Order: sequence, then structure tokens, then C-alpha cells
Amino acid sequence: MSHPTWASTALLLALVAPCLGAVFVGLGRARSERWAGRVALTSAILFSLALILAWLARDGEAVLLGDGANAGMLAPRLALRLDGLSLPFALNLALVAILSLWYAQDYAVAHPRSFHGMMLLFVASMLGALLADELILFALFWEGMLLTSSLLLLRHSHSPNAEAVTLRYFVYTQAGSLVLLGGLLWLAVKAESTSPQLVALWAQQNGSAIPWLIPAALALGFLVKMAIVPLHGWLPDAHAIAPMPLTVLLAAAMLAMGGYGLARFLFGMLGTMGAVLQTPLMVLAIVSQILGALMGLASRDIKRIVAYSSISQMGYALLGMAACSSEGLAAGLMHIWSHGIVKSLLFMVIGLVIAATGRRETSRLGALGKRLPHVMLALGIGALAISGLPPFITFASEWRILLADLASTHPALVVLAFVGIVLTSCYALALLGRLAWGSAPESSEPLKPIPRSMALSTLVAVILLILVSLAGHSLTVWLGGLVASTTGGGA
Amino acid sequence: MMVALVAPILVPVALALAWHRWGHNRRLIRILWIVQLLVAISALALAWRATPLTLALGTTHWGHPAHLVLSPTAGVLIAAIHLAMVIVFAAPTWRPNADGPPTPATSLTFILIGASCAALLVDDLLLRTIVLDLASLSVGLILLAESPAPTPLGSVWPYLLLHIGDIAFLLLALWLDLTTGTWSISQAFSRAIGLSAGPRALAIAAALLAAACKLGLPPFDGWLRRAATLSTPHRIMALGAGPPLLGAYLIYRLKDLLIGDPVSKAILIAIALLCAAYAIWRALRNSTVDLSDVLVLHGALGLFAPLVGWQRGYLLCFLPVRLAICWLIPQFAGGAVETPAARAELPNVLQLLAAGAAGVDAAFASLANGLGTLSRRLGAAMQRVHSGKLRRNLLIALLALPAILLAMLASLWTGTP
Repeated sequence: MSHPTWASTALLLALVAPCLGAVFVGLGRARSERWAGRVALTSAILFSLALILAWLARDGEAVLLGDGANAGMLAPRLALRLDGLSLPFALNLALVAILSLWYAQDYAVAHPRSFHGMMLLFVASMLGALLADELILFALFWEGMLLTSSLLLLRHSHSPNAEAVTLRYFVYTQAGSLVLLGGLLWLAVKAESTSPQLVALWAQQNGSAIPWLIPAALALGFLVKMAIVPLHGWLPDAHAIAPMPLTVLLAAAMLAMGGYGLARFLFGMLGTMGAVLQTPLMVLAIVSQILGALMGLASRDIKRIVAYSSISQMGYALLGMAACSSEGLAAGLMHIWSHGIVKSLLFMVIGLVIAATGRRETSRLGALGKRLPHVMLALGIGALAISGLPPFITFASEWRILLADLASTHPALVVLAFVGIVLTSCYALALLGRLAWGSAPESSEPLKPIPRSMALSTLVAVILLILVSLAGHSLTVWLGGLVASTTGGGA
Repeated sequence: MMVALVAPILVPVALALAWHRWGHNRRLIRILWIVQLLVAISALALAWRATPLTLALGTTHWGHPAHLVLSPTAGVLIAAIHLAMVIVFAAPTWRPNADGPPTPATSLTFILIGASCAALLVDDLLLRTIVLDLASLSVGLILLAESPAPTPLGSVWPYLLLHIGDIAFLLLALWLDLTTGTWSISQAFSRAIGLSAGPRALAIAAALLAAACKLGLPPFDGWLRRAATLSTPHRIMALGAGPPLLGAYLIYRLKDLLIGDPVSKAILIAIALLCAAYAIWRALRNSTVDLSDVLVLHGALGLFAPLVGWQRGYLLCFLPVRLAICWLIPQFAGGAVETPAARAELPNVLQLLAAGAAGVDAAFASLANGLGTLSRRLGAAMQRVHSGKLRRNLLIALLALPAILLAMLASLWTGTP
């Protein structure tokens, strides 16, 4: 047994904090419902602090807890690892969790205790999957992520189609999880270990002995989570019916998990084996990028427009990773990271519009530039950022992705991605145009007041986006260094 | 010297802020106009130096030492831009019954001028992309502030058309960096001449697309036709000193690459002829000439210019000619030339694409319900099994996870597997 250190104890605390928060929320029957929200937010802040503390107190390149290398096939052990690859994703999760739970303080949900408790378990599952240093443990947390999000969708959606949509979401993602689990188990059996480090070592020495079906299964499982076309069928409806704080978590944090999986297990663990899928991955990425943007343009529901944009943006990220170079991988991960902040902001703003007007169809919204100027300003910032305009951080990640892909073996294919960039601007600015300057609807009702926590958390998201964009260069260098230290400088 | 290099960018921006904040303070504004005039004179004086004036900006995020470089051509253009600004905006402020309150469109026009000057000076491909996009955004905002379109999509459509040009320039920038190994514009453009046929074709295609969007050539002329509806001072600056000038400057900088081989020369001639024929056909169709058709024709002539060696002359005359087209011709043509009325530029292509995507989406939605009969039946069976019990079943599954995790946690502390 390895001796616990300050860093490893803080790491365990980071994982335990949201779980304990969920228990407290569940037990707080006698307290007010507002209390549940505050406990949830405090838990998210605590886990974020513990995470930062663990990283700062580390001794070496990673924080380790437990020893996954000694795990047997049928006796998985708790082994956690916070390294250069998981840290950016964990920080993104912490940021998005705090924003969404803050936003949820005044958000109207039917059962606040159950909602906040389950949100914390959802966050804990994602964090567990990011930190898991053992394949079976990773699969368990992955499953927990699916179950908690399904329950949240089912219980807290106001839609009459909640059950059908949840079932679709569950079937899609569960099918992906099973394929992924199959791939991981097959790999573990061949490598005779469930430790990602040992499997990676084995893969380096026996690359030719790995059947192509294993990387294909891993890719399939993670692509479902990233909602890459044609595996995206679960996303639009799930995002559309989910309560807004959950939508923020789904879009800004859960989709990123697919990207993390690809980076850690396909390109990180299997190394060059991941490159056998380069061409299909690039094609899927470009199709997702273009089709997601076009579907966003076709949609008439403001929440669905932003939901479709997630498909398109994940296409960008996959395009970067599919370059199969360390530059492409770093650029793809940076895009996922920046997408988390931008998408949180966009969904939060859409939530404000819906809260103020009670509407979400573009045909029934318009002329909000004068009625909700601050909200429209925030939407404008989000729309310009998602369009990849300078000086926003998305511009930095996008040109790095494109440069990495132009240097790959398929530069002609990448030229199509430039079409996707134009279409991205089309749907984002069209949304802004319709809402801010479109003609006012005939039956215009007085606007409802926007709840304070929703407005404040959105303001913080705007400030964060600007700060992150200003620090774009430092962040790029930092993320690139972290990724290179974890993947050994090559994808 | 160095101040004179930065001033063409910073003075218009300062003027924009002052105009917005203290637009009623005539004395302050007049002082700023005098500064503006000095900037124009200094740019003209510096343009006659034997060696281009250079100012190091430091190393960019992408690891390239960026510079501002004032070449003779850029110097003359910058001087022309600032002189035009003084003529168009400053002269009227000395009239006794001069203008009303400052408008946002005017401030935005000054920002556009700053961005245009930056684009002419900066010697880094990616920085040029950024300032080009800033110039496009300024034009989009000027249109939005002064001449909003009847449809919301029409409001952002002009910017989107210009943005296509920015994206094409981004492709050119990234491609040149990869193939020539430098972000420096002057070095990359001169090395691009030596590229092999394939990489050269991509560079030419991206450059032509970027220039066509900026010059407002068909089918990217939607933004130009909207900008032609702006009030005269804003129209002159947007169409004379804005994106079209930058498009013409790009053609000028890449003239050796564009006319370097017979194929690209033939393509250039074909595009120029088609655009000119389109503008002339539109002009002859009606009893009066639409001002935007004259502008399209002038843009198309820019593609002919490198073929006959008049590129530098065309570029140096660009702003005076545009000033004449946008200001003098409508005044003296006696109604024969008309400024177009504001109208909705409906992006039919986009709507068609969006409708197609909606169809694909519907197909995916039906696919999501089950692949074929078998999956549909399976889905229906699952729905029956879970009907009303889905939450319970999910909860049962979820409860199994903490049990496993607790066992693993226990084994961590006890050290037994």
C-alpha cells in the first residue's frame, strides 16, 4: 500500500466532497430547499479547491493515490491519478460545476433536493472518470455518469417526452459504453493488466499484436459521448429537455469527457495504433463540423441551436486530435477546454432569455437588443467567441487545429473545414441577429425579472471568457506543456 | 519616427473614442483633426524614405517576431486614407451650421480606418488575419448602426460575406506558413512564387477568394450593395478605405504569384471578365445606373490591372476613384446614377443548405428511433419493459456503483485486494 501524502489526501477529498455534499443534501429534509442549492455549490467549490491543492502539493509530475498496477482482472482497486492530461479537464469540470450550480440557485426545479444531490453525483462521476487510474474503475465511473445524468433528465425535465428522450439517451450512450467496455477488457486481457500505464507500455512493445478492432471500439465509445455524427442522435433532444443547469453540465463538461477518453486511451495509451483511424476520424470530424452548423442554422428553437453547435464544435476538437500529432492533440484539447467556457456562457444566456420571455422559438422572439441589452451583449460575446473570432481563445485553438491538420497527410480534406468555420459564424450570428434585431413578436408580453443568481453567474462566465482569452498565450503554452509531459511529446 | 508609424493606427481609434464621448466639444475635435492631418503628412513624408521604416512589435503567440513595416506604397495609401478622412469628416465641422450629434456609425468608421491602416502596416500573416477580421466586423457594425436590414439574418449577412474572405485569408496564412516556413508576409509572399504547382494552386485559390470577398465581386457583392446605402461619408470610407482597398492591396502584393503561370493568369482574366460583364449587364438593364454596379466594375478592373502592369497605379488611385464614385458621381450625374435602396439580402443558398440539413436531421431522428424494423421492435420492447419504471430501474443500477466503490476504498486502506 502506498503511503498517503497531502496531495493524495486532497485528491481523495476532491472526489469525496461532491459525494458527501449529495448525502447532506439528501439528509437535509427539514431544511429549506434553498439550503440544498447552497450545500451543492459549497461542495463544488470545496472539490475545486481540493483539486487545486492536490496539484500544488504534488511531488513529481502527477498526484497518485493507490496502486492500479497491482490490480487483478477481477479485483479492481481504487487508483487515482491527477496528471497533465486530466488536470485541464478536471479544472474545466470544476469551473463548469461551480457556474451551473450557482446558476441553479434560483432556477425553478420541481424537486430541488433531489436535483442538487443528483447533480453532485453526476459531477463526482465525471471527476472519478477523469482521475481513475485503473480501467475497470474508469468504466464504473463512466457508467455512473450515464446513470446519474439519465435520472436527472427523467426526473427533472418538464417535457412530456422525458421518458422517451431519456430512454433514447440511455440506449445510445449505454451502447457506446458497452462497446467501450468491450474494447477496454479485450485490451486488458491481452496486456494482462488493467493499469493504463502498463497497458501503454505493453502497447509500445507489441503494437502489431493489437487487432484494429480494439482502437475502433474505444473510438466508437468515446465518439458517442462526443456526439460526433452519425452517433449524435441522443444530443439535441437531451439538451433541449434538460433543465438549464444540467444542459450546461452536459454540453460543457460531459461532451469533453469523450475528448478526454480519446486523448487518454486511444492516442495516449495506444499511441501510434490510434493513427490507423486517422482518415475516418478526420472525415467524421468534418462532417460533424459542417452538419452540426447547418442543423443549427435550420433549427427554430434557441436551445437546440446551441445544442447543435456542440456537435459542430466537437467536430473541430476531433479534427485536431485526428491530426495524430502532439500539436494537433494539444490544439484539440485546448478547443474542448475553451468550448467548455463558451458553451456554458451561451446556454446560461439562453436560459436568461427563456426566463425573461418564457419563449424559446425564434419566430416568437425578437427586438431584445433594446429590451434586454445586457443579456444581448453577453449573447454577442458568446456568439463571436463560438464563431472563433479574434481575440477570443477559440480563435487561438481553431487556427492551431487547422495548422496541425494542414500539416497532416490529408491537407486537401482540411480545406473543407474552412467551410465549417464560415457556417459556424452563420448560425451564431444569425441567432444573435434574430434575437437582438429581429422584428418584435406580435403578442409581446412584459418581461419577467431575471433571478439574481442566474444573472450573476452569467456575468462571471462573461468575465471568465474575457480573462481566459486575454491569457490565451500563457494558457496555450501551459496546456501544451502539460499534454506533452503526459503523452511524452507525441500523440 | 516610430511614433509616426503607430500614429496612423492609434489616432483614428483615439478619435473614435473622443467622438463618441466628447463629440459635442468642437474645439477638442478640431485639435484631433489637426493631429490627423499631421499623421497624413508624416505618412506621406515617410513613404519617400529609401528603406522601409520598421518597428518591432515583439514575439507573437505563435513564435514569430512581428513588425510594422511602412513600405512606400503603404505609406501613400495611409496618407490618402487620412487625408480622405479629414476631407470627408473634418472639413464640415468648420461650417457654422455644422452637423448634429455624433453617431455610433462615425466612431465605428474611425475604428475601421485604424484597422485598415494596421492591415496595411503589419508584417505577420496571422496578425493580418486578425486585423482584417476586425475591419470586417467594423463594416458589419457600421451597417447595423446606420442601415439595419429588414430581416435579422440580413443584418449579419454583410459581415458573413466579408468573413468568408477573412477565412480564406486565414487558409492562405496557414498554408503559406506550412509551405514557406515563415509568418512574415513579405518573406512568405516572395517564397510562394517558388512553390510547386499543387501548393501554389491552393495559395492562389485562397488569395483570389479573399480578394474577391473584400473587393465585393459577385457572388460576394451583397455586403458592398448594402454598404452603398450608407450615408455619403461612411460610404466613402467603408468602400474606399475599408475592405475593398485591402483586397486590392492583397492583389498588388501577390501580383507575381497570380500572373506567374499561364493557368492562374487565365483564371484571373476569366474572373475579371465575368465580374465586369455582370456589372455592365446590370447597369445596361435599367434606365439608371446603380452605384454599386459601378463599384463592382471598378473592383473587377483591379483584377485586370496586374495583367497589364498597372497594379501600382490602380492601387494608388483607388481611394480618389472611390471618392469620386461614392461622392461626386451621384452629385453630378443628374439622377443617372442612383444609390441603391436598402433591401434584405436574403441568403438563399444558406436557407437551401439549412433546409437540406433539416432533412438530414429528420433522417437521423428516425434512425435514432431504431435502425430498421428489428431495432424499432427492440426499442418498443425496451419501452414496454421500462414503461413507468425507468426511474426505478436506473436507481437500482446506480445503487450498485457506490457498493463497488466503497469496497475498493476499503481495500485501499486495508491493503488487501
